[in-house]
Amino acid sequence: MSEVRAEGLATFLSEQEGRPVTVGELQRISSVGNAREPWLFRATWDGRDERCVMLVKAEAGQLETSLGPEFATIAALDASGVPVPPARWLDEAGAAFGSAFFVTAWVPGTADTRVLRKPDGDPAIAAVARQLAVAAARLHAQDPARFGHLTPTTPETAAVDQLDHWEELFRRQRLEPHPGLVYALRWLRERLPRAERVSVVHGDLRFGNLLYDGDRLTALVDWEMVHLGDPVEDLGWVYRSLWSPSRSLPFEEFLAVYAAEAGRPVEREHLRWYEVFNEIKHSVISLTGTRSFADRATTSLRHADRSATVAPFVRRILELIEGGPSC
Amino acid sequence: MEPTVAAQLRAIRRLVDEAGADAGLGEAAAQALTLASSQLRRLEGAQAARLPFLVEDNRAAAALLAELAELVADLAPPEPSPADPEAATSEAAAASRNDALRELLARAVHELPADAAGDAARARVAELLRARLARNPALNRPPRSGAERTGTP
Repeated sequence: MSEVRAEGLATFLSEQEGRPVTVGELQRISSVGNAREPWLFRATWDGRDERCVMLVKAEAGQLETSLGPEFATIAALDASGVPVPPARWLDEAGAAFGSAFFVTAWVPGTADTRVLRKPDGDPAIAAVARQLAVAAARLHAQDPARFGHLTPTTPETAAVDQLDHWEELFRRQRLEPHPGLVYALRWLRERLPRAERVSVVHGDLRFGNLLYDGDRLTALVDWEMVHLGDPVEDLGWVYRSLWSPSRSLPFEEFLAVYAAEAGRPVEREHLRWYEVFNEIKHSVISLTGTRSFADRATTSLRHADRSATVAPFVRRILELIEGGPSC
Repeated sequence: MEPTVAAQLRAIRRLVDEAGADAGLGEAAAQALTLASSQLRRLEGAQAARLPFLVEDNRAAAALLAELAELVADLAPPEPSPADPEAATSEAAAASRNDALRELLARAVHELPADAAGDAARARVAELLRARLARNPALNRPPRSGAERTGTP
């Protein structure tokens, strides 16, 4: 990645605004994410002073996603009732300092997930999880026509479009045979569900990709896997064991809050299909990380043995296919 | 063979840990060394169990492929080379054979007919997969350290 400099950033922002913008207090902030490098800075223009977050596209890691659709989605969700950080500027071409980035206003909150592991749960997390269910329902109620930057789909093709996409990635990224994943892919293909509706799907909706401040959900972030699809896909992802808030709010209660806001229940077999699908999806993300490391596209050791996560994901797939409990 | 692979990994990890204890290291370097150390620890744990796992997995996969050959063409598993005296005990040979067998299994799953016989065969594949997961030494590794994550992008 190119060196991030305040001067280049200020020049770019000034060009965008058509008036001088000064940039100060530029600093890299720590993140456990892999695809975007977050920076904090203060922008001043026309007497306005705003704390901003800049997300810079990182070196190749698990998935290659462009910033444009992510930024356009956040911008389109402004004032929609879905909590997102206000979108500010996009430099998809890397004009400012050689790497693509976008900027949003800073939003208070933390993405810390350690609290999810508290044995007896946490009332604040329960409250945030309920707000997440409401936010998900509101996201899924958005008119897809307002998101023309995302690839269109239909209720009939939403599932197969995603399955085709991830199966193609699987075949491209795998370093070894994975009969367990092939088994699951066939199981999914023989049971393709029809979506009740097409909606905006966050694609990585979960604790860790949201900001909360005490017991208040302040923003949904990390939209790099956003797409149009079946809203149940998000519901089959949000309580996966790696990031589940179930110790604070049982999944059934989360679904009840979602259903009340959405005005429709979630059908269990439909949900199970997406739970299996999401294990495939995360497996492929892991395989892509290991492939990136093997191909020297990244030097991050985090990716070196990421494919080791596939075995537990396959175990979960088999449980789900045998009719094991959701989440 | 001394030092064993596990002993060598342990020695390398000790060096990595010593380097990581240097208070003058930057955050990124310290984090990289922590990750390297914990990955070496997992490799130490899994390495000893790897060959027995592969040998048993190869036996089970070859037996199942022989059954599935009635439903899917060209599933004959590769046999260990009689010309290679180390084939039965070499980890590299066992791993190579394991890859070949799993590739055949993946193809079989894909090509099994969509009828009762195919469904029954796929259930047998699922059984094999479950048994493999139960034996898999990688699933009995020490937990990842806090510096690692299994998250999405």
